[in-house]
Amino acid sequence: MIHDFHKTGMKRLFLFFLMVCIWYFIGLNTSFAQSDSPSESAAHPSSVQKHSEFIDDPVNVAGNNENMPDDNEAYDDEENEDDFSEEDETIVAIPDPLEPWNMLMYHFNDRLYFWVLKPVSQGYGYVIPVVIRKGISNFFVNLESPLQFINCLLQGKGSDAEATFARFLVNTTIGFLGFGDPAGDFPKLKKTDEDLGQTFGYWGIGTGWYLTLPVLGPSTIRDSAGIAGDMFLKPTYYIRAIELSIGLQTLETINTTSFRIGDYETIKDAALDPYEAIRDGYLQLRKNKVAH
Amino acid sequence: MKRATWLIFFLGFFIYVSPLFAAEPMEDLRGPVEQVVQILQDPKYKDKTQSEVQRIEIMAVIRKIFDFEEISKRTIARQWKKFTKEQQQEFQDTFADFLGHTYYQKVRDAYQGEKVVFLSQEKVKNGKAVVKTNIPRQNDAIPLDYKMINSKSGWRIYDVVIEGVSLVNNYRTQFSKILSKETPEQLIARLKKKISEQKKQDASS
Repeated sequence: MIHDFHKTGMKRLFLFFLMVCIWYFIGLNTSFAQSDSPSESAAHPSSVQKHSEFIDDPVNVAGNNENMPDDNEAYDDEENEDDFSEEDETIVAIPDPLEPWNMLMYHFNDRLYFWVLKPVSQGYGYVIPVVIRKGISNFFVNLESPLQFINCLLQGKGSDAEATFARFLVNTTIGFLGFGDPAGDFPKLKKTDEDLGQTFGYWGIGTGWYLTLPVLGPSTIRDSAGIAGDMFLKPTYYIRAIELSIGLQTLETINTTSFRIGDYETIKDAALDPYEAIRDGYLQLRKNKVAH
Repeated sequence: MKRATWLIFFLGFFIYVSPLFAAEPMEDLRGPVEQVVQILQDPKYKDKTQSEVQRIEIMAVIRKIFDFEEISKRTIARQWKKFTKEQQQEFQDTFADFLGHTYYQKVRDAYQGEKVVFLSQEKVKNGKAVVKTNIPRQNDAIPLDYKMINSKSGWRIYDVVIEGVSLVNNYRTQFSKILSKETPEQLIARLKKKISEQKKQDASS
């Protein structure tokens, strides 16, 4: 009995491995074939189209930084040396009606970082060696694959979706449940960085008001809706034991922060108005991500 | 004799032609970046008492490659015309000093021998270019783009874009908010105050 079971188990494992190999090569080949021309040509017209759409739409232009034609390459280079009117618009155009709330949350998050997150992450960083922290980081990145895959599809980025899929298969198997990152050696299997907020932006939905979330930090109405939607695409959401789910998410946060200690301090120290600097930085960052 | 004349001709030609080669934005940037890295790694500045000397040394390089006049104009944008000539000059110097202090302290404390990777350069219209670089870190890499403008003294930086966030745009948002309530003098005073705070903080740490 045991012997037989062992045999069939091995057979299944072998078949599974074979399938993974086949999928992997299909994924690799298609992403090779596609990423050369169609994907790039597909990405460009849409972004151009989007741009003109936004300029035509006065509501969007008035309400959102995301859609502002402020300092995009094309715009920037056409501008007159002595005329900063285009660039000036960014400032005028972004309202912040939730500022009292945002300011409160900004201070709350600031304290949370300096009093809890930073010391904990620093201590964690001293105790846990870099190799293990990198492994944990890879593991969580790999868990985000379904989220990446679906958002790539929703944005019509076929070759990116394939690359994400292939990446997931390689890293889950050869990379031992995602702790390793063997796919990282292939430039074609590069990590994507998509989320539902970006997908909404890609569809032409404006950012809405700027909104600072407790714990999670800077966001907008659109991106907060995105975060809520993305939650369902994270495997950690489906863990029944709530303690384990929260524990994993906490570990992810601490692990990520352990690599980034000093970044927040730099942003804050380099600013005359840290709240405004973070708000503008977030909006610029998101705008850039939606465009790519 | 003939060989010597050829040699002179040849050398002369290359001396003549070399500025044309050097007029590439990426090459103009590479030199100063490597100089800064060298100063950062120089063991003679290891002692913290030498920090000020090191900062001044780095600032000298920075001032050559960064076009602080252009940067100041762009961060103040429309309000620039409301500044008097003296205020413009003072703002420009103070802002340069402020940026120098802030980023010097951060880079000095965080620098661990990272090498700047030069990825590509892209020339755009009106004598402008974007040079893309990357700074690899422990678990990620920071994309750093330099927007450069061609001037008499070669290509110079007028904006730095970190992960898609333009520093000029970021400061413009902050400064315009301050200038909507305060005068140019008060803005300059704020910058000066921040510099002295940073100095104090650095001395005590």
